[in-house]
Amino acid sequence: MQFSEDDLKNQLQRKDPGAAFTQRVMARINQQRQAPETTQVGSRGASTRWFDWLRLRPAWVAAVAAVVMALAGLGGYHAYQEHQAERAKEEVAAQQAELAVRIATAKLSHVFKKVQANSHEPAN
Amino acid sequence: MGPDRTAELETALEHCRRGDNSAFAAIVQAHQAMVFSIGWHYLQDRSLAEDMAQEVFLELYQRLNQIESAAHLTNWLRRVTVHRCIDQGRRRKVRPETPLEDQPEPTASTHNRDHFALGLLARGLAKLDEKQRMIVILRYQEELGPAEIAELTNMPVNTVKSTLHRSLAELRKKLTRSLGEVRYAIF
Repeated sequence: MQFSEDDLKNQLQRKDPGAAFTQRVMARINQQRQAPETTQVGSRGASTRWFDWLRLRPAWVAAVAAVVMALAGLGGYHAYQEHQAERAKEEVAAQQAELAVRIATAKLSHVFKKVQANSHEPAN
Repeated sequence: MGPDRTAELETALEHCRRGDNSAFAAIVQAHQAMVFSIGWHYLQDRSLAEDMAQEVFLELYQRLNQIESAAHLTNWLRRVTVHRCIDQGRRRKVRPETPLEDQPEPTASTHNRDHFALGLLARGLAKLDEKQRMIVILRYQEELGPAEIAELTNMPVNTVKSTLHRSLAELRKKLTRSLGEVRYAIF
């Protein structure tokens, strides 16, 4: 079958995609221009994004709170135990001091009696 | 492109460089048929061709400062379109059939022509291999000479000439075979 160059030109003639195509291209360009601005705003509000992240994940918030409370409880119990041990040591020390004072008093009293007895004896 | 049109495009380019988006829209409007049609005829898929054409214009927007004149603009758009089409063609297997709704409307010059034969011609073009199809598109859609096609496709001029000659012969053979099959089916 024969065909001419005109047939090919007609078959391959340009076809316009329409005015909506231009609008779509311009919309994509505007979108691209706005994208870097949005990124800058995003970097300024890093803490806000962090809170937004937490707000959207209540289970995570509850788990973190539970861990913090458990750690605080363990810390408190440890401090209480240390305080009790200190008090027990202090009591033992006080008892030992009291005993030492009693022993010293008894010894002094004994020495005092001996000295008195020697002073009443007649000197020959 | 007439001198008035060229002057209009030069002005639009100048406005674009100053950040005038409406001037860029005018440039898109002036070249969208060329870019879209190369893609559509080559890829045989309207939506792929439209996506590719949008990407080409987005790239143009980013490289506006490199464009020196209206002629350079047209050449730059053709070159980028051709290479994007080739890349896209490599990434996918081109669908051999051209959907019926994508066929161009008959023009005045083909008013009395055999529309059935033109349909066969479209199918034949779609069945050419990718390199042949691009050369035929650039020759008959863009009406470029072998030297210009060679420059756009990075091929030697003689290769372009021989590929074009072979493509037309193959197209004739395909159409004759298709017509023979149809006649056989009818009679």
